Amino acid sequence: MKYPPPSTRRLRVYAFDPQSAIMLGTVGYAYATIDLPWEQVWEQPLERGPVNEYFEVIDIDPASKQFYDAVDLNDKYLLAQNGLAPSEGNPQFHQQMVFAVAMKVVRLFERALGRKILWAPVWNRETGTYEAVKRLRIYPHAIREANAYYSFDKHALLFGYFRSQNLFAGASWIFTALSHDIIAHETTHAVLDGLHRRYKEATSPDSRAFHEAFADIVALFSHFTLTEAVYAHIQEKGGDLDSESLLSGLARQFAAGTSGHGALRQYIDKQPDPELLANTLECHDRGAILVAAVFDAFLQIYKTRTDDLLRIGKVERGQGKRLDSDLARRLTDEATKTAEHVLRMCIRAMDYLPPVDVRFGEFLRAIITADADLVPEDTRNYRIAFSEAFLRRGITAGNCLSTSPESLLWDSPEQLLGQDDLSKDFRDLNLSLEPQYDRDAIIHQAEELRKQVWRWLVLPDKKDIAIDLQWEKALGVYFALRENAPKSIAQAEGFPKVEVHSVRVTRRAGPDGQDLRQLVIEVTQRRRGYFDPEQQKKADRGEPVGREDFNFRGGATLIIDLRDRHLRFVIRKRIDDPERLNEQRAYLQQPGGAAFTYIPAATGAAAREPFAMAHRGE
Amino acid sequence: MADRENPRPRANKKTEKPAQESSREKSTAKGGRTTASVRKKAATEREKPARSMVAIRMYRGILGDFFFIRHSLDDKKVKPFKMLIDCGVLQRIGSEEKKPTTALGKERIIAGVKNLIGEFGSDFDVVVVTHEHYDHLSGFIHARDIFDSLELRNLWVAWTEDRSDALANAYRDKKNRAVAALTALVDSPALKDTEKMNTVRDLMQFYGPPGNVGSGVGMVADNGALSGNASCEAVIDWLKQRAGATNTSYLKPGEVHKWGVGNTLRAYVLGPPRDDDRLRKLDPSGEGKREVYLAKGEDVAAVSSLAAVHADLEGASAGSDQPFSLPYRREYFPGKFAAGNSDDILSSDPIVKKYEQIPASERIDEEWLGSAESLALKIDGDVNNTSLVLALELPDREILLFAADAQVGNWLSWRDQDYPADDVVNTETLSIDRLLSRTILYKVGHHASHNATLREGGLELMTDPRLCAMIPLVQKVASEQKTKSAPKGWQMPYENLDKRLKERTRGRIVRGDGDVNEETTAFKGSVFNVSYGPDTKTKDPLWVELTYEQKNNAI
Repeated sequence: MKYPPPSTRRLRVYAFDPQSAIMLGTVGYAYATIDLPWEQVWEQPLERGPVNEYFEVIDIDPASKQFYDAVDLNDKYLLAQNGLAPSEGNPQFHQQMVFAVAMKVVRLFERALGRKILWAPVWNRETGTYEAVKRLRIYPHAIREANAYYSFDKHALLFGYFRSQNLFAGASWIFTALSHDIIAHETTHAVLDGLHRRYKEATSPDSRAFHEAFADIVALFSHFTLTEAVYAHIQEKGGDLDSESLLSGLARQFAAGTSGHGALRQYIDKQPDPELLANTLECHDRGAILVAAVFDAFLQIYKTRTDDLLRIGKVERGQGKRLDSDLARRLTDEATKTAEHVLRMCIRAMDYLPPVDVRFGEFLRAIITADADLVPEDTRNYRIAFSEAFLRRGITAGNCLSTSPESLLWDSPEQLLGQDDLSKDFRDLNLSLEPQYDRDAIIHQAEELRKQVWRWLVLPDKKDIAIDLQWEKALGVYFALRENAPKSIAQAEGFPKVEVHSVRVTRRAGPDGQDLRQLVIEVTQRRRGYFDPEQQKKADRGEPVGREDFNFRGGATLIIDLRDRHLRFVIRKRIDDPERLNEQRAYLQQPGGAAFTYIPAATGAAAREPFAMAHRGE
Repeated sequence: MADRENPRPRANKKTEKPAQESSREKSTAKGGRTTASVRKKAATEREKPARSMVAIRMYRGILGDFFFIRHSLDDKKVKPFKMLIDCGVLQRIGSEEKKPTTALGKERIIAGVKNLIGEFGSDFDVVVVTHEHYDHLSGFIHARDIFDSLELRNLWVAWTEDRSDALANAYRDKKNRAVAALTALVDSPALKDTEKMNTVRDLMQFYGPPGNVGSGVGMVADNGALSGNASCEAVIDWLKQRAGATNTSYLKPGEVHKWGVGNTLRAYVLGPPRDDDRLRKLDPSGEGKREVYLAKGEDVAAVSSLAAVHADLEGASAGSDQPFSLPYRREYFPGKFAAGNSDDILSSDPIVKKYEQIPASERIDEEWLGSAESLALKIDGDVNNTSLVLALELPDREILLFAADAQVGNWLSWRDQDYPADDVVNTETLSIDRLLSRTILYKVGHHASHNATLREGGLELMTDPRLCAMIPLVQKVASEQKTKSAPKGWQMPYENLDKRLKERTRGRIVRGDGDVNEETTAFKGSVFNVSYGPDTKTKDPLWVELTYEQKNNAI
């Protein structure tokens, strides 16, 4: 008799980290079980490691001159008990936990984005092409220090471990691979790099900070999937969520083991300071302002969603009175649902961001636009909660008319160009958009689409040359070296290089059964940037100057409705924007906002591995 | 003088502590060598002052600090005052073929010491040792035969050298543990002579000859002699023995000491900073002031345990340095299974097999070395930040700024205190800005590297139009120090800094490898006269000297 495969694979993990499992107050919800969908027939079966289609866990520990046997999650004894029991002393459990949490993050993204995620490709110097990365490597014990990072060079997540001198950490050895928050944070760096690989370039104070903030947002909101922890908190605080707790802080054990602090980052700030943003330049600190804004929006939405429940229950919020368990259960439902919505809004916004040089204000516009696209009627005022929370922290969206959600929407081609001739042009484009399931086929299709769109867009239109000029205008790039084009744009064979960065097809379902099928195209261009404005002028005129000091990039994201082949939004960063060039130049010349000495740019480890939890040498 | 005409009443708490002020006023030329004639001379100076001259000599051709300052009166009967500030040269680590210019350093410094003692004798009024780095004191080792006759009336070192100071000892202990762990790694059989340890190995050279730093070898012998492989700590111990405990001064920021003939001139102590809070604070990233001493106890412990694992390749490492208990451990090091031995493990373990197939650039074999490198860099920065920084005042009250190798933290701390403006107790104080604005000679910090000259709060405040600079540097030597992470060697002088220095001094810079004609031309009309010592074999003058003649007799 052959049995059908189960629908999920259940794996036990620490809900937060081992520290919460040794404290009476938290031990009740210190463990969690992650449900991952069982491998589909077209997927490769899970192997020892664990190794699947997305990750390969490689437990080599060069710092201690060891390797550790790989866990076999298909072992019948492990299958019968949801994997190994959480244990700090068993490296195989560490493998299980990093794998489970990293996969959970991947599924979270795939569900919100409506497509499979791909890792950032690697540039092959020899062939001069990008090569797809099928699996990201995970090293649970890569280094012996209080650190962890996503290394795009090695396309791997590296987790460190260290011995703490600090008693509060509750362990002598602390493993970052056992911290749910750190795993989620670093995995998100990798996913985001796969979505927008230019975001890792430092172009403004916001760029690196955005990477950090987004990684924290994902780590933070996945706390709210832990219903027992949320329930306990709601009970304890009488329905209130806005006090500092295990839920609102990140990486507690890591923080206790390194500095003795309560949490690495704590995201409750009741009195936001709109001036703070202008004066905060360190990427983790600056990112924290953005996370606090999103968290604030979450708290506001939760409040409005639960006011009626509290009135029915005849309790005042935050009185600390023990709630009726039915009521607490309902509040917990609302909290987890709200967190899910907020996180999904943030992830969907990823497709509505410019391909280069992202700013906090643009993230706000992206959240609003993406949500408005999928959920036209904002009956619960989610979008207002967001714009208000951002505004309170001084995050504004540049030259928008106001901070009302309508005026925060991205520009349509009509708004940008006065007319839309571009949508018609899509009829020339015949893309093969059949859904693929096999991961290799998905990777192959993504590459084919990219090439197809490049040929259609960049090569001169045979019927209508005028449309090319329209496209140039919309995309903020140049297809040919026209008179007014800066000659510092990178060229190949006498033509400016244009990169069709990615072409993705998404399918999303809204809460009222809306079905949204979209095509997201990202186009970018590179221009040589010089610290010396005089040199820049020369380079722009096409006179020979030395090697560039930095890369200046421009380009646009196009969002096309596949149902009627209509170009809905153009999110543009012009390659010939002198103001943005000046900003980037000024930023690069003043790292950290304070040129203490005569050094122009970050060097060493911080520059090599920008996605570290803690930067060495700081 | 400007200070007296425009007294700036500063509501500074520090000025309200007369007791502390007076204790700072330490007369330093102890002992009986200030002869009666000098005292008599000094007494008559008030009526008819003798013009005085200060000469600052820098020994050339070395990457290292070796300065000699003398103050003399135009009365030839009065013995000049002689001060030696540091005497060291960079050590050559690696082959002579790869570092030919570095290899010349030892010979050059011995020739320099011979020249100095031949010309002025082996007795010094003050010897200043700024910090415990080899390129500031190895001359005492290389030329130990010549220095055997050394007599010093006073030794000036920073408070961090005081063995009776708990704070200094805590700091020293941390540094020594770090250096021991790092040297153990550098010397471990598996890592010895490997490319990947180059950065750490290069930094360890600043503490003494290889093999002798962490092991304690090379200390001062019982008979008080200095061995050829002495560590930096040993050199300072030896100097202390020579000077005698009562003649050794541990200088603290904010103090004023006296120098020059008849102890008439003032020396302001600017650094190293002494801040108990800063040293003890657990979290360096906390708000407020920037940390001066960066290395944390945990970092040191982490590298110590790495050293325990890696210093011994064959034997099983001690259990306490391994994170997991015995049943989980499988020994592995890169290439372990490569030679065809133990094929069984390779084939039975898919993960090791997978790992070994990854291209080397993507493997993580050496990733852990980052923590050793970062600790080595931090300790290096910490020791540089213990630099004794002196502002030597000239008869006309201009300042010679000797910044040793002070890095940003040290520079920033100079404004943590004010400086007594006069010998009279409870008078006005001087801010660091005043001292910087009076600076006419800047001994450029850390051989003009990128992070040892503060910009806005430092060089930009040296506004005297007569400003000149000295850079103890041979660029060729710096560029020979190549590592994987610095393929062009050390960036000395750092381009941006060099450019700005030239602008500020209008080119009046002398350098250890400077062109004689260019320098002479640049110094025409300068407040200093420039002169050069005898040519060496390579037609390269042994030293350069800047001479300052007192312009104003009003003092």
